[in-house]
Amino acid sequence: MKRLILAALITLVAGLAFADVTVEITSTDPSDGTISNGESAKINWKIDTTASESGTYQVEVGGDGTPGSGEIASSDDATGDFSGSETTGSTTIVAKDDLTDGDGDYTIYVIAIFDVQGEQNSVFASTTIKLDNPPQKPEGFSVGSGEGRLFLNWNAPEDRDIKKVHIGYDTKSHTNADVTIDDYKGTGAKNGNSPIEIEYKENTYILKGLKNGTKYYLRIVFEDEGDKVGEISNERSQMPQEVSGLADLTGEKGGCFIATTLFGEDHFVTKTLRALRDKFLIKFDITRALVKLYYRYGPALASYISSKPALKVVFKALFIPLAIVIAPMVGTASAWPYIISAAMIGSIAFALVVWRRR
Amino acid sequence: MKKFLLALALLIVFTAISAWAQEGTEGQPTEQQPAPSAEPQEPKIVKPHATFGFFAGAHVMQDSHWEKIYSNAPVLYLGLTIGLKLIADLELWGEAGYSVDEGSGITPQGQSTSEKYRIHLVPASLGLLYRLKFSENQFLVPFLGGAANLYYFYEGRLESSEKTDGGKLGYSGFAGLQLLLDNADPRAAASMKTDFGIDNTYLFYEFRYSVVNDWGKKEGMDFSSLMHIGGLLFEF
Repeated sequence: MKRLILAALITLVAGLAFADVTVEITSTDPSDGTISNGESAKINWKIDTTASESGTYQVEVGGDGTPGSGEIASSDDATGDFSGSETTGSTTIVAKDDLTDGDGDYTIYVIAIFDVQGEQNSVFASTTIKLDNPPQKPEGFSVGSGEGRLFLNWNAPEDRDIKKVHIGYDTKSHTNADVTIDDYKGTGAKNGNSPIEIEYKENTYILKGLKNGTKYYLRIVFEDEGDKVGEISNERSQMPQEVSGLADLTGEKGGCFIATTLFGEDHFVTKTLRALRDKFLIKFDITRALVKLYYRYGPALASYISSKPALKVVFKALFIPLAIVIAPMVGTASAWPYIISAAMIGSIAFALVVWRRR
Repeated sequence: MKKFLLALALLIVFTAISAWAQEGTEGQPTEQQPAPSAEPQEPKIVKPHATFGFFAGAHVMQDSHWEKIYSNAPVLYLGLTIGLKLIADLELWGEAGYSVDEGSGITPQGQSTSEKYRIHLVPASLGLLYRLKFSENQFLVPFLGGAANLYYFYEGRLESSEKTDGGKLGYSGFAGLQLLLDNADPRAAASMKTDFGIDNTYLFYEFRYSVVNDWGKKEGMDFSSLMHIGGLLFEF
């Protein structure tokens, strides 16, 4: 029994040792391995065996080199047999049929499959084919109007390797068939003179610093990682215009209410609110902005409030309690009267609660 | 609108009458159960002295200018409310909230543009509120009140430094109904009382009419609105 097992092992090891099959990709056409839609690449390969083994081969796109892990290429020469000490062949990779996930690198595996002692074995060699199509024509290109600016929008391109967007603007229309982005020679935008080249990050762009009432004509074009420039978009036109929000529409000036108008320069309330401004409001961005607005619109509001006696009464009623509350915090009043008052009110409240419970 | 107010008023009146009637019979002897002559008195109920609530609601702005920029769709309004009971169920009542809306600027001809505007509103209110509450276990409690309003506003054009902000004064009147939730889950209610000191929990709905335009000032923003508000109110 032991002799039988030993003999079997010797036979197996000997078989494996002699079954030396190698696959080599000898060349590709085109040599840089880059093709675009409508083109194909030819992969030339060679299978060598040391003991004239025979088997089959298949050429797969993607996967990991294990038979069946990728997609077998679509051409007839993607599968076949090999035998003898050397078999050479070539396989065609068709861009539109085999490279279907858009632009990028595709790994092509040439796999030789053969039997050793009844066991299936395989070896492979691989190469990379790059699909690099020129960028598509921008779709969904539209331009919206704004105040001295234009809002450009376009659909997200299907190409995965768009690197730049070239934006052309001009005050003249260009509709000749062989128009390029360089024909657009607009000037004056804060973003720069036409054509403007931007990194592709999103599908919108704002062209600023344009003249209201002037009609602008615009086109865009994509450029990819391979520096290929695609087809130019359709031309769009738009005119920046004066635009109103709610504040403009209603004549709203904004601004805060002015204690000086109500109480005078040296009044306790005025001093308190001034101290609030100096000690707190100017220390934070948002409140500093409020203070700036105060100085911008203050005089106009002051005159308006002073012309309305009813308004003056109402604002005084609002400002006096506010000033009383914040005075000890900003240092325009001693804190002691407040502490004493709070203590008295608290004592009275406590006495009332005790009295009610009894 | 008038029908709605009429219905609300009737509801308040009927609820008040029924609650009053209920109050009147509480603690009185009935024919079937004569009052014991020397029974120990029930523990005295300590009435809540303050309220706190939070809510979500919607402004429906009434100004036509608002509609041109921000459409007439209701604007979400979130806020907090507090009340301090002054006399019986009359409260000194305050509220602070926040709303934000986004719209498109228009040309002088009224055409919409691609310029986007965003407006932030921070309304604050101070006023009086009366709850028609006649017993601590009253299931439906109508309330009404009025308040002075100060709206802080901040409108800015997006992707731009242009902005306007300021304050607007106004007033509002409101009415609503609150629904006592304690009876739905008495154990949870008891837990709220012992753990947090909350005596009653209510679900409430409020209708409010606000006039916020610096008392009729023609120039400037007008935040007058109809509001529908719903939320939770806690009495403690």
